[in-house]
This record gives sequence, C-alpha cells and structure tokens, in this order.
Amino acid sequence: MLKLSLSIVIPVFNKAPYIADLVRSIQNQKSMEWEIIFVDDGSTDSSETICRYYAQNDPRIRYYKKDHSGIAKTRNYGNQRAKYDLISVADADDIWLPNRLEIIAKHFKKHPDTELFYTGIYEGSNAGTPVNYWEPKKVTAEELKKGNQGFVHGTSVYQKKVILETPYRPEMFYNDDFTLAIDFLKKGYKMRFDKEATVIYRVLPTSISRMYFKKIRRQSLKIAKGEL
Amino acid sequence: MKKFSFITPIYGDSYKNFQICYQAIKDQDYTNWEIIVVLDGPNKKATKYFKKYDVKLYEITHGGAPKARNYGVEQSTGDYILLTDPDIYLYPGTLTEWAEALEDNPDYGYVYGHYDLRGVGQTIVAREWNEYDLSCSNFISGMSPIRREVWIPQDETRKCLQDWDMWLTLAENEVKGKFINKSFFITEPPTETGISAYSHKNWERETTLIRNKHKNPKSSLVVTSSGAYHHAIHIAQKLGVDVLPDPNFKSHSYKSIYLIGWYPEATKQYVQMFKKFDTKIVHFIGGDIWKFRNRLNWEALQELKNYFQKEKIILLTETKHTYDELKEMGIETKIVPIPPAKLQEIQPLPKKFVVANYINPTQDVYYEDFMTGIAKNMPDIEWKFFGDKNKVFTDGNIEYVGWVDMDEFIPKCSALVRLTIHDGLPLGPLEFITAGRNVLTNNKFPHINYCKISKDEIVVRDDVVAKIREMQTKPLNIEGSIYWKEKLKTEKYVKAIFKYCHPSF
Repeated sequence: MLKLSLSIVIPVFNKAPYIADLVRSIQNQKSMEWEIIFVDDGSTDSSETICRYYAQNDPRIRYYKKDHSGIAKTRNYGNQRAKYDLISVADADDIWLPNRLEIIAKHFKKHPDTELFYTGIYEGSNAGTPVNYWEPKKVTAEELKKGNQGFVHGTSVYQKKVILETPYRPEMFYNDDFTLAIDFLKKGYKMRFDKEATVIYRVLPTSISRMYFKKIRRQSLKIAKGEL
Repeated sequence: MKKFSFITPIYGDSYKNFQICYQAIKDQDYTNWEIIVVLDGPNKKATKYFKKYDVKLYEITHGGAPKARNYGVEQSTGDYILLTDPDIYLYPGTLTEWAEALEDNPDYGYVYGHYDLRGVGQTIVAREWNEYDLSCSNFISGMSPIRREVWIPQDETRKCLQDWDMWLTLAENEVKGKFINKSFFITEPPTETGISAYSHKNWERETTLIRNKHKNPKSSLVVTSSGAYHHAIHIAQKLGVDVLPDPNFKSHSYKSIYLIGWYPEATKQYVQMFKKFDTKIVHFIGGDIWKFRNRLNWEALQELKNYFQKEKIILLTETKHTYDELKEMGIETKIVPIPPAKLQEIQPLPKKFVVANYINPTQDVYYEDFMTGIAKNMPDIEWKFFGDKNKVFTDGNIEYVGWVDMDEFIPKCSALVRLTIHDGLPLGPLEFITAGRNVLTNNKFPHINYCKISKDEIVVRDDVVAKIREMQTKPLNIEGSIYWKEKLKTEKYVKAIFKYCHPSF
C-alpha cells in the first residue's frame, strides 16, 4: 500500500531572493504529509541563512550543504536522503499553487502504480504572478527526437524506488530533465499527467535555461537522435 | 454634552442676514448651545430685531468688535467659545464634528478647517498647524471653536486682523490648533466697506504692527512652494525668513523670493509671482525634476530655459545626480544641499538586525510590492515598513508601523532601504545615516549603499537582497554620519542662500 506522504527535494544554488516564497507556498498546504530537503549546491549568497532559518523553525525541513557539483548530482544527493515513498521535484525559485498537494494526493490515490506524475505549469514574472500556461504532453520517442520532452519537469513527482534505480545522469549540468525523460521512456515506466497547473516558474534573466537556450537545445537533439 | 457659546457682536445693520445664521444653528443635530449677541453701542433697531430670537442680548458702549467679543465671552457659560459674525451659515453636522474633534484631541486648544464664500464658489483653505508658518501669515478662521480654559481676551486696540493676533497670542501660551481637512461653514465675501477691505488697503502697515507686536519682524526674503510647502516651512525656519504659500496674495515689501521646487504644471503661476521680485532663486528638489523629464515637451522646455536665462533666475539643486539630470536637459545649476529639519546623533545599533523600508501610498513610486517580496524572502530579518499612516499591523516578519516619530523610530532600526523611481536628496536616508545607520538606495550618494534599479528594466531581487545582506554585516556607519553632518551644516547652507540673495553678503 502506497503511503501518501511526500519528500520535496529542493536544490539550491544562489537563490536567496526566492526560496521563502516557495517554502511559504508549501507550508500553506495541508492535503499531504510532507518534508522538505534543501540541498545547497555550494551557494555563495545568503541562501544558507534562509534555509537554516527554516530548518530551525520547522521540524519537517532539513538542510544539507555540499560543494558545488551541478544540478544532476545535487538532485540525486537529495533523493537519496528522502524519507517518504514519493518524491517531488521543486526548483528554488518556483512557487507552488495552493492546489498542488491536493492534486498529487488525488492522483496517487487513484493510480498508486504511477511512477512519474507531472502537471501543467505557469510561466511567471519575477514577482511570481502567472503569465503563460504551458500544457503537459505525453512523453514519446518521436517528440523527444524533435527535442520536445513533453513532461514538465518542475512539476514532477516520482516513486522513490524508481528514481533511486534510475537517477539523473550525474554528468549533466543542464538537460538533466531531458535525459531523465529518455531514461524513463527506455525503462517503460508508467508516466501520467494532469493538465491543471500546480506550479509557477519564474523566468529570470539569470536562469540557465534562458542564458543557454540554444546550446541546451542542440545538446538535447543530439542525445535524443543518438540514443532513441 | 459640552456647550457651545456663540459670541456675536453687532454694529450698525450687520444683523440683517442673521435669520439664516440662526436657522442653521437651530437645524444642527447638536443641541447644547447658546447665542450671546452684544450690541456694540446703542442700537434701537437691532434691539427690536433680536426680540424674536432665542438669544441673550447685551449692549455696551461702542468700543469695537474685540471689546464686544470679550464682553460676550464674560457673559457666556459654554465650554467652547465661537466668535461668529452674524452672517455665517454652519453646514449641517458641523457642531457635532467640532465637539467630537475637541473631545478626541485634548491636547489642542481649538479646532479649525476651511470655509467657503457665498456666491463666488471660492474656498478659503486652511492648512496644518505650524507655529512658524502661523507667525508669517494667518490661515486659521476667527470662527473656530476654542476651549474656554485657553481663552485669552482679544486685544481691544486692534482695528483688524484680531483673529491672527489671537492665534499668535495663544501660540505664545503654548496653545495649538487641530486642523481638520474640511469646510465647515459658508460666509459672505468681503465687502468694499468692511473690515477686511480696511485691512486690505492698509495691509503692509497692519501686518507689520501685528508682527512687531509678536516680535517677529518681516524679512526681505520670502520662501514659497506649491508642491512642497511643508519643506518650505522648515527651510524658512532655518533661514529665519518668512514663508508664504502665495507671496503676492496681498501687497508686500519683499525683495527676494526663494521657490522650493519648480513644478512645471504651475509655471504660469510662478512667472506671475516672480514679477514683483528683484532676486529670484529656484531650488530643484526631486519630484519637480522628475516632472521636467517626463511631462515637458521640447518646446515648453526651451521656453522655460529662455525664461530662466532672461530673468537671471538663480537655479540650485541638491545633489550630483539631479545636477546631472538637469544638465542633460540643458539647465545649469549650482549644488546646494538642503539640510533636513533635524539631523540625528550617532546611536548604538539594536541587537537584532531590523530593516526599515519607506512606503508612501500617495505616490506609487516606492516599489512597495517589490519590497514586500524581498522582505518576505528574508524571513530571518525583522522589517518595519513606515510612511503609510493607514497601514498599522503585522504580517509575518513585516511590521507596518504607519507614520513614525524619527527620534523614536531610528534607534530601533539597523538599516534603511529606500527604492524609488526618482529622488533628489531625500530626508529619510539623511536622518538615518547621521544616526550611523547603513542605508540602501537606488541613487548614488557618498557613504550610502547603492543598488541598480531602474524603472525601464525588469526588476530583479538578487542585487537588492545581496546588498541588504552586506549591510547586515556592517558596523555603525560612523564615516557616513560625519561626512553628511559636515555637508549639511545649517550655517553653510544659510550662508550659501544669502550669498545668492545679496552677492555682497
């Protein structure tokens, strides 16, 4: 029987101005039991102060700091330390919509065999107000070869046993999500989605996906064509 | 229920409009009042006239309105004294409002507001009580309710301006008035033969008499402002000269005028005002420069520049970045910083790191939402948002404290953040920095932390957060305090301004 509790793994790399928005948006939700695992990938700003503040004031929140090693290794590090069966991705500058835990709980009650669950997402302003809606799609080899990963990584919830068996490719500094889609597809994991948006992600002028957009896309196309 | 005593002196046929005055008092929902009518000299017609009204009628030998009023007050029994002319019309509810205001403000000797002139659609506007301002001109109607405890008989030798004389005498006895931003009654406009006509004709002489009596002689320089009058009062006080909202309202003997802020929408009014002065100084301060940049078209700007040049107007500004902004528009200025009303002394930092952030609801230029986002994302820090008098509550780590007394507020804070789309030399940061606080703004000033935020770009939090964390580790800003105290010495400023007024000074 699947226990409906959620470990939320938040990789942190110099995100001090945003972390508290995310934490508050999680703390306000009551539909599931949860824990937060901050994994600080060697931040040099005041992220540590904020995370430690929350770890001290909320027993459900833990904080780990390690040397800088990139996003994939950081996610794996956090996933290994999760205590519940379900693990949710959360990026430190995202905001969770108030319905998120309810939608996750509802889905896994109905489909306890889902191995990767994801939802729609809003693109938001720097202040965190929703601007554009992005629709989730089915993950298929054809789309991956076109460079479209289909699943919305920032909204993902996976089974712990699955992600420990198939972790993020440790060498990835970006496209960690795209290669995860390839690996999950190859393994034949059950992937399901809900169209409703549950997360707002900020488009920051400094974010990796924005600064290296073309480079990331070239790399993802190359990987998909070579492997599928 | 406290009692109002209306004191109405009558001379000649001045009672002829009393019917509406009386009716308006009778129609008030506040019912505890008495009317004392004092005939200033025997008056058979008036004696007969007042028989039909519920008033207490007295007659004295003719001695002028002040004497009649003083006599009337002696005969009255009310808690609040109202010196009225027989032709005013109280708006419904006025007595109740006055009674409540006096009840709510026990520290004030009287309350006052605006009033309207019948038939001409004009409002005579009052303003916030300030003793220095009052010493230069009267803005308080004689017809304002006064507590009996503070009443001082009027000077019976005064022919006019008795009300101004009375407010000044009260101020000298530490009695202040409470301003209520509202019109309370309507009255007849001044007639050509009335007392105000007399004072108008003899304005120079009569005002000089009053001012000499109160040991406050006129200056040759007058300070004024249409957009920052409160600031102008402080400035005039520092300079020891007069301040007036409209120096040309009556005839005057000033030689020089010093305008604080040239707000382009009032250009016509300024040009008109400047005509009667030999020396004209304009001090650009902040909001006015912003309007120059954003509201003036090219032609209007050229016209104004020509005017400044032709009239040899002395143009000043407060700081390097406003100097640069004006220069960019082709306006050459000299930098003279204006010292705040009061500078702080260095005081120890509080044990906990507390950040003050200025907000202001009337000007939506202080990035309040943005700063709320920043504050909420620094949950380990205590924040105090001040400046919005309607916001007094706590939201998580943010305490909204409304309006504050800087002397009490600054010692509780470690640092100040002030982000705004435009600033001159802002007072808040100067008060904080002279107290040894670290300050963060998005304009560049010596010894003040700077973060780049401009309204044309997407505002991101990162730089602001990093700068606040930096301030968290900083000790008392002693160097900044010393630097700004030296820079803002009152003597230095006063000397500079008088040098521009009289090159020989």
